[in-house]
Amino acid sequence: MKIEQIELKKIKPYFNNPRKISIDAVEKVKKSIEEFGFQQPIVVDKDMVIIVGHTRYKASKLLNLEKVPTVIADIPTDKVKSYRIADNRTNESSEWDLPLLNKEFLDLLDLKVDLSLTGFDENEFLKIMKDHKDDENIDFPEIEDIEKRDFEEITFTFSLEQGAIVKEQLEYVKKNIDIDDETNTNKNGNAMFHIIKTFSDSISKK
Amino acid sequence: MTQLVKNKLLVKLISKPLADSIVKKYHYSGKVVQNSKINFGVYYNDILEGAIQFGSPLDKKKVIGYVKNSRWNSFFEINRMAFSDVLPKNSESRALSISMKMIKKKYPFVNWILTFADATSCGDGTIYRACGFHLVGVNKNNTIYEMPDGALISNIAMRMSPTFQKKYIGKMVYDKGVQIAKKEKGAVLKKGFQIRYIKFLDEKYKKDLTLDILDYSELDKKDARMYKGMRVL
Repeated sequence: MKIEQIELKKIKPYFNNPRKISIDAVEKVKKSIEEFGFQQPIVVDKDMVIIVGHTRYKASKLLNLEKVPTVIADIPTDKVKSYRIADNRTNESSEWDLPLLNKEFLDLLDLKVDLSLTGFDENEFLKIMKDHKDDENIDFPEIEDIEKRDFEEITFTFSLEQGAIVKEQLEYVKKNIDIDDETNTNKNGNAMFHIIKTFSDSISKK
Repeated sequence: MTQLVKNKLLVKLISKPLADSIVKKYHYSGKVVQNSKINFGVYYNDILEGAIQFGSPLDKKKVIGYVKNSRWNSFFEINRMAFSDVLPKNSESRALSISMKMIKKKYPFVNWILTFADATSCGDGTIYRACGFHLVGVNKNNTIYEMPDGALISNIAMRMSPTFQKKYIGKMVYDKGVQIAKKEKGAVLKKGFQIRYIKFLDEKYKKDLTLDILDYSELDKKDARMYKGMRVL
């Protein structure tokens, strides 16, 4: 792969780029280029039309860069279109592993690095760090030494439609009725028992 | 609660989500289970390089009789154990030993630990043997299936996992999951062995074991050896 420094004015955006690019995304890439330099070339076809790197192109314009690192791709014309979509689509298939991302944030804070350089805004990284603040500060759970279990677990199988109704009704009972029971801390169990007891009482009255 | 040992190996409790992340990253199956209650992180040079997850077995009633007179919470299963490749030799077994000592200290009523080694795809339990686990079962696999895309699925997941049924069967079929996956979706039983080990945290309970303790050489006799996913001949 040959990376060339090509004048920005010679590079052309693809007229029908199907990927929407937000101002926010351009700003983040601009900040990244300012902080880390241009580490990922723009990829163009032989006519200098962008295949991959529209956001970097826009950020480069904002930064008034004269030349940018560019790869002129040796890809047949019929494949350029699909590669343009595939490059974006394959990125969508990955997702963040939040506990590990939180550890990276903590390491960066130790190094006194501004977390906004990661492309996450303050609300985002603060939420992730809040959600995972106790990941490495855990106590043993309380487990009692009991002779035999003092609860019953019963599994039912519902159709999707039945399951939705059951869940909806359990949520209603949990939200609206005092179902606390000192013998059981499981809210779903108490809600289910309340529904069945109510039904049972109504039958016996008839 | 932490315990520091030589060679910068540290074993400490971590959250289930963080342990799950490590298991997804390093366990051969890439899958986690929901029943893990006690999750240890294994740090080497301050970097989290492994996780050991203890919890209840999926079907506790089925295994509680392995040791006579067991109380409901007097045993745990190792649900998952996964390490990166950078850990030096023997550190996995040291980490496991430390985690079991920490369990015994916190829960004195826990007397034994059950675990399984998957010698269809991973290993025959080298780490467990290094920690002095007793070999109590070498059984031909009849629970782990391989899908045409290479995914490994247990028969329980085939029957109970909506994710599996939606992805591979296209709809919910509940108890018919195994049958349909085998007949119509190309699920094939993995060749190899499931190996069962038990460790007594207090050896006085060994007399109550209802399973035969097998010599480790039984693995060779049954041609069940496997190391890092490769059969050992």
